[in-house]
Amino acid sequence: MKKEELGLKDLQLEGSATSGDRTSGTHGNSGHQDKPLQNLENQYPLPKKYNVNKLMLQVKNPKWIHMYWEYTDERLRNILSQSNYNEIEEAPLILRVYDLTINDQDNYYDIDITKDHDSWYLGGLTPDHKYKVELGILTKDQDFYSILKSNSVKTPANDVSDIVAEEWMTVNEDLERIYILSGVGELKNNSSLDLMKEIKEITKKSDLRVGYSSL
Amino acid sequence: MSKEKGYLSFVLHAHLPFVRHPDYEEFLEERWFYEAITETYIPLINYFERLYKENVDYRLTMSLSPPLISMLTDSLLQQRYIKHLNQLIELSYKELERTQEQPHLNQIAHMYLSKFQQAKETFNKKYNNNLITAFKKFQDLGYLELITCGATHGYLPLMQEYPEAVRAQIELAIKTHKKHLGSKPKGIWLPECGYYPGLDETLKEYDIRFFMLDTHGVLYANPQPKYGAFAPIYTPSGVAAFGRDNESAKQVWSTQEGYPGDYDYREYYRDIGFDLPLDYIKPYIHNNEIRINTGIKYHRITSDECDLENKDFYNPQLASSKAKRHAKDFISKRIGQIEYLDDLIDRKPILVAPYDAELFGHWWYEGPEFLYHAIKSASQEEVIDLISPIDYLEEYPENQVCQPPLCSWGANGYNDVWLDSSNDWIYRHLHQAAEKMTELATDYSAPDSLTKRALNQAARELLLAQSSDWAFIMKTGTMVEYAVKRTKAHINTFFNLYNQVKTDSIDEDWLAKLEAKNNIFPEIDYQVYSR
Repeated sequence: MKKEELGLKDLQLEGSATSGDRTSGTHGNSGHQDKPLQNLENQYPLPKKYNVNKLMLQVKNPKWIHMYWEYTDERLRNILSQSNYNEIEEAPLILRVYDLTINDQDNYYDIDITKDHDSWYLGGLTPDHKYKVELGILTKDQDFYSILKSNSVKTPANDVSDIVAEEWMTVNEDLERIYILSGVGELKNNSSLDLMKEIKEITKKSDLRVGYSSL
Repeated sequence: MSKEKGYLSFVLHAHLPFVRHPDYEEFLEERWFYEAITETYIPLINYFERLYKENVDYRLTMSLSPPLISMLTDSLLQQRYIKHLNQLIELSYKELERTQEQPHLNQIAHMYLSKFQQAKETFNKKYNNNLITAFKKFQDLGYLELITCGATHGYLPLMQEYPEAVRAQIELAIKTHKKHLGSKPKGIWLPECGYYPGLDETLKEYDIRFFMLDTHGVLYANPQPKYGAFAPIYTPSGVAAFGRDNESAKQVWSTQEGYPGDYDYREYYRDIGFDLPLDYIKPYIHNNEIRINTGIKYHRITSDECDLENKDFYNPQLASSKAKRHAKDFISKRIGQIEYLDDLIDRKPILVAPYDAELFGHWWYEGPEFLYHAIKSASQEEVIDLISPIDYLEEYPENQVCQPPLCSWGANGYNDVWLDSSNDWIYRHLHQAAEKMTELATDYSAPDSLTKRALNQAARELLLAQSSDWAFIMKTGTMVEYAVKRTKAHINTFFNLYNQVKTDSIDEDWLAKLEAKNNIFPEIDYQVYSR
């Protein structure tokens, strides 16, 4: 449902913002079914915790990842004692973010968190890169004790790939037009001037690559 | 062989979340379904019938989501729809009387009465309350290529860590499709066009041949697709991905260029449910007191700046001729694209134009008529031919192999809509439930019949909780309470069932009530979740 993108002022789709002062159309009244909607929390409570050890990363977009986590008391106590802390309040908790695309174990950075956090939005990432995160205790001596290890995820590409097939080069000039017609400029919200520059760069890179290629 | 230089493929995605509340006599959200039947599905079916009688040759691709199939074939909802329609007919008669001194309004009131009566004829007389048989009819005649969707429209990129849950969404969708439409679908509309690398492998296992992506999903694939979005690419598994044509999309969706915003078209937000005195309209609004849209609207969009109060009256003839003109314009622009591409690429391009089906008719009142004229107009042109993606693959079995990135057709093109501060809390629970469902399915291979029923119901509850509609509604901010309630209720029920199964203490009465209420996928086998 691409309703978010429907720009038509007088044709807002379900769930979109209201038009004027009126409740928005068909689906505009909430809270109408008195009984089941009252005491939502009481009627259908969800567990606060599931007693699991889990750190889940999910891609939001090419530059952002969302993560949520939970660890058990047992796991926490175990790691606390290994790292010589008595209480969680004393132990500095961090998220250690690894960029796995760059093949280097030390390619990470740390984010300070507290015991009250259980989710995080990680921004400023690079598109088309692979990431994983560990949550743990970083001691004053900079020793890291891992409590949770995440799954690894790859941020999606947000641009035309600069990898081209060999036979591609024969239609180089048409490439610009094909991509413009396909709407590459509008996707990126660039001016046509930027777009031309960008596509030129792509095609130039392609030329270069073929030039360097050993094929 | 014909002389066409390129192809246009209309793809309509028909879906509504499963909303069925037998425990209430009237339930507001069930109206989503009734309104879509009257304003979208029936008008489309009537135009299919007309095209058939006029001997127009065409191909149209349509996804019927499993929740929609389930609701269209549910006898309770069918009966409720007839009741709803009878109310509308009754209201139309009252409108004829009320407007008899106002000839212009009276003419529109006549239009509504005749449309509602026709809807009843189509729904009840012609297709015996089951519109799926109508879609099947036009499928069997060769006009419609019907494809499937996720079992409950679950957003797959945010389910990918639970492959069994993804598999269940696909497998149950295919089974539901086959049961009601006679054969396995060749294509799938991925819910929200949500794709992640690797998903195609699962689709391949179920013999799915193609799916649609938003434009950037194809353009940003790796390596660069040689034909941009004007030809399909093969994902590494060999399942084809077709990219949405950006130009066709804009002409229907965009503020500036979009047809549905034309001033002559019917104004959605001006409805007699709000305009007329409460005493008069009472029996036709929710619980006799909450004003809602009835579906009877007398005004046109008029202008962008115009307040709702100052809208001009609707003129059906004018709107109708506008729809015809827009259809011709749409096809001539597609021909322009194809002619231009003819010099650029060494094969016939395919322009894929996917839309939500409910846009046509429900939101854009004249949409079905537009589609009818567009189909007719295309059939008269030599340069362009209407085909389905599957037809294209028959003509061009060889395609470039490229890996699309994770993508969707939601705002910003990725997971932003369904993973947002308004709805991110749901995944912790949805994932845990998916994990526990797989645990149950793996551990219980030969349960007694009561346990089996509980396991099957647990699977249904999980599936219903996974509908992307709930996260979408939470993000967009209207009707949030209902979406939150549905999410919590299904997850809560799931864990109750889980506990009852694990502790061997199944409450049979409660289970029977759940089965009667959330009765989607009657033949479900929870084993689909096993490892």
